[in-house]
Amino acid sequence: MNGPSRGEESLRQFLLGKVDDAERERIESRSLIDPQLKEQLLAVEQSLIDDYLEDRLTADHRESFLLQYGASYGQRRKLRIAKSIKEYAEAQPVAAPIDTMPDVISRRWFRLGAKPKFVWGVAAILIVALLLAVWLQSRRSQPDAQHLAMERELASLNDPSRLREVLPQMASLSVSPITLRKVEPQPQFTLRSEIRILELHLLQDQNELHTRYRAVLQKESDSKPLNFPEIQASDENPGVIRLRVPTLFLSRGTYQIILSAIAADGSVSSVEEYNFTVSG
Amino acid sequence: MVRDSVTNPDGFDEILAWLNPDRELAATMYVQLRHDVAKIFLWNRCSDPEGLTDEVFDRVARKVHNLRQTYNGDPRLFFYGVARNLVKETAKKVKTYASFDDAGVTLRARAQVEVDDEEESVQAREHCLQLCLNELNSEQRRLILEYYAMDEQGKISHRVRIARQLGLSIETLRVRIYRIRVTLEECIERCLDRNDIKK
Repeated sequence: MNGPSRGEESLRQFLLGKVDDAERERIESRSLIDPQLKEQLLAVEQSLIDDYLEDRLTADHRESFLLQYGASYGQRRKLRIAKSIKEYAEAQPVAAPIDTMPDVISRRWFRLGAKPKFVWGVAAILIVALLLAVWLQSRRSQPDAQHLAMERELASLNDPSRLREVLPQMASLSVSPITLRKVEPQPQFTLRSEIRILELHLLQDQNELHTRYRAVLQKESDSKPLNFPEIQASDENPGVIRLRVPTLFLSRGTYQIILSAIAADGSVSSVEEYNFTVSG
Repeated sequence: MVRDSVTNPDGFDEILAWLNPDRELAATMYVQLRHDVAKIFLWNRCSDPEGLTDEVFDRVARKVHNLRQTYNGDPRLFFYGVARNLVKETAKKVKTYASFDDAGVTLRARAQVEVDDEEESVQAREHCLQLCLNELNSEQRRLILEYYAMDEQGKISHRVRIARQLGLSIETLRVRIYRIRVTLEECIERCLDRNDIKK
């Protein structure tokens, strides 16, 4: 159990650039269409990074690893971050073991263990529950990956350095918070194929300005909200918070944005709600 | 390489329609595919994965109208074929501009780079790490700290023990840790970028 399994070993060889072209193409192409393999591959990549940081690679593998992961600034930065997480965790006092079965339950279980019919009945129920859980999990994992990818896209688009760029094929929409909106109709955006990015201008009460915010976008009928990265208020345009959303993520309906101001100690100091409609 | 994508709106819409008839699902597939293609360029040691990914999507956009009628199979595999060709083209260009020896020396020099402390300070990273750990829920925070706890000697058996306690295989535990770590690392990167801008 300690060493890598055969499948894992072949993925490690791939990541270290030690497979032939045919095997490389097989793994790469499958990673695009098989979400389970992709996730396994990325987990093996993390474990390879851990092995490098924990000095468990052979000299040959270490050299291959550095050729692959030490070549660009972005990759080196990822290594430094991984190293920080590891060092921070090592410095923490060891937590209590993760409990999975409280004592009282385990004691009762063993007392009942003397009755075989009961045990088999419970076992059958557990197996059915397990199969149901596996089925549910397999249904859930793909949308989760998609949701994660959408949040990554939002993070990249709303990166402070990129917010300064004026992007082509972008439209803007000003939205007032519900508390300040008077009788005017709800702001509306019409989907058009030539517009790829919607920049929302969230107007704020001039007496309630903060420097850091968190925002969540949710379609009224949709249960899964999209989180934006932490937002910094702009000095150039006080009183307006800008959020960029790919129009791909929008469809006809009413959207709600919850904007939370973050105080210096990290607590939420005020919350505003904004609504807008998408049509087209 | 920062480049202007030449994908026109029609080509873009056709790519979406080709990926999936449901536009919302197609949009998430599109975003996911961009990440996956960029990762392939990274695995092939290409220096500009984002720029090359744009190039793949532009090339497909130019052909997509015909492809929709003629190509049989998963469209994502067609994108992969284009990416594979670009990897080969890029490798040829490198060989044109530098001899094998030169390229080897360059790669070797790069390989000397250890995990150093260029640009960001250790303090900035620690500050961001703590902020981002607080954004995880308590179960995720506890699991990731527990996973990386212990010194090198006891680490492997410690992880096997955690997996056993949770009723998971060590591979499944790694996938679970991977998901938490991706969230944490992305949060730290954003936090460090913000600090960088403030300087």
